[in-house]
Amino acid sequence: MSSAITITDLSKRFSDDVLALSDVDLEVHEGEIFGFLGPNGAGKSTTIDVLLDFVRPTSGTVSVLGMNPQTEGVALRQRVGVLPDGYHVYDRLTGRQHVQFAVDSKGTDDDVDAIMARVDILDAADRKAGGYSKGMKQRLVLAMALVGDPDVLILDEPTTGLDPNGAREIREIIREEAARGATVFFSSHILEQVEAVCDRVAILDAGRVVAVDTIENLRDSVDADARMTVELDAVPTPEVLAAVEAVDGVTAVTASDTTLTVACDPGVKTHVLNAIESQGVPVRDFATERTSLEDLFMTYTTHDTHDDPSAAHEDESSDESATDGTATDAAAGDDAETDAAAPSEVRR
Amino acid sequence: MSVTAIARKDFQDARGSRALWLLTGLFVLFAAFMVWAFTEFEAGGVGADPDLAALGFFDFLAASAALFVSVTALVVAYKAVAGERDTGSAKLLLGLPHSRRDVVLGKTLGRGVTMAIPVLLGFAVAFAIAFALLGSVNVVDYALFVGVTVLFAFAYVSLMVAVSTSVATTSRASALAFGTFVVLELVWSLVATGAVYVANGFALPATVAQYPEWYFGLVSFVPSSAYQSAVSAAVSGATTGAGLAGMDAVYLEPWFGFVWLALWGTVPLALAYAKFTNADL
Repeated sequence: MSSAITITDLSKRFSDDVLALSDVDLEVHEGEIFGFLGPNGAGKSTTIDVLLDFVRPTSGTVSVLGMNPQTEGVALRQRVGVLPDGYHVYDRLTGRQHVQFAVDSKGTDDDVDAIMARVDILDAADRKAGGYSKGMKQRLVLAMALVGDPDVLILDEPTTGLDPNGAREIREIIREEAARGATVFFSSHILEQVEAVCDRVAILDAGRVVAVDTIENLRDSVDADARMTVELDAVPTPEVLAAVEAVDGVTAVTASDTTLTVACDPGVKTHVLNAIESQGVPVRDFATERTSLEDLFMTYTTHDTHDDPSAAHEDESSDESATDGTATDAAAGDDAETDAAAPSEVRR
Repeated sequence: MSVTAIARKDFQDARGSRALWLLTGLFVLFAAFMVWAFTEFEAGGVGADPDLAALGFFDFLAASAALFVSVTALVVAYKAVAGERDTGSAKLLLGLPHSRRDVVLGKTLGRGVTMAIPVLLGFAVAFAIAFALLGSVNVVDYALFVGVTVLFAFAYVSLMVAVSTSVATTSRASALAFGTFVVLELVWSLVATGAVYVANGFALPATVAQYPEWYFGLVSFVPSSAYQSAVSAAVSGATTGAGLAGMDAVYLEPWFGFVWLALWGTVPLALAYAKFTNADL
């Protein structure tokens, strides 16, 4: 069996007539780290709730480790670790009692202290969980999820309430669990959080799966081009424009006063600069920009345009919102350079 | 395994609750007061209050404990399941390998044990006071009385857990629990009388003796009446159930109180579970 989670034609209509999920199909392979993306309210938690038998599907089937949650829920959850969305800890129980409860419930012989140390809340183990911060509660529930070395980890927004360091620690644990052989399925509304660890992602929007792929492929499918702006010392001559257009990988060149805007393959930036300088025109300054993750995400999930991803992308990229860069750096931390949403500047 | 893990967790949780210890303290004071009050009435002589004097020691305790236990059971149990669904801790509970059946049973067990604490502590203190004031108390009868009271407490907790299991939010649970309590404990005799009134052609019989048998069945059907019947069946010194001479329906036998209690302890819970097992959290 190579599939850890299989979702087939899943629809869920709540009693208040809200259609939360519509014909969702998804397959998560064993041992994979799978990111489940979508804006708030897209149906991520509902999907997870069906996997755990918290809610019953209106139609369609799901299977986790080959088991049906509705009929084999207990056996299934014996092999699954869960960090649910919208949970509440038992205010009057200590952190240790929470983890001990998970150990008792699963009937394992895990070392409670070791698990609490792993998520870095051992020093608060004997305090009542009601007094924990949001981030500590999140770590506590992750600790409960890790009990019994589950074959599948289902984590709903695991980095909520955590600072960038905490988010990185969670990603580290996710990697360790995957290295052990566990399948990790986790949801987030922040693309940067999942890009750093995920093998593949699915993007859910308004109850429908709109994309399933690696992030790199998703990025390529939305936009193969980088946009590059070059400041020259003088107004470019037609020869300069021709030389730039002749560079392999350049798809468009426009000039406005002393500024050149070049659409090109991200790998040919240096060739473009060389081509300009070979015409004897000094480059004063240049900047490049890739499709930011935010743009990518918006492309798939902006409702009025998601039938036409290219149009959405044009809108998003034309405002050159360099402010994306700060959010990206803060969220991804160690992987900031791969999310070069902000223009990188080089002075010559 | 699963049931006891949930019950233990639930008991640990309740143990940290100030409300539980407040109730325990109140029940200790209450039981002690009732024992003292009984001895005072006894000392006042038969003429002081014939109604009270006619009652035995255990009937007196049972009549007063019934109200206290039912109120306490409501407080202890109404949030048992609905509270977890409301806050979202049910997702932690059911994210672990527990069936919904085990959740309902574990909750009932955990809250039942929680409920037994004030009852046992209260009657332990009351026993010491009774021994001091009355000079002698039949230990076997006293133990039987406390045992039946604990059984009643479990049945009531089970009823309130059932209420809690049948709804999704704490506010609905509190409304339904309070409504159940009011109907069963406060207005039930009116309901029974109303039924007789309707059945008798919109007029009440002239004397109580002319009331139909089923009226007394209806009256003895509610948990607190069933408890008092069960006490009189179990304890030799109790007299409740007398005064129904001439009635021979099986459901009017004092021991039938145990049957009613068993039904109260199981049927509502089974119905609530049937609803909960198919519900979305």
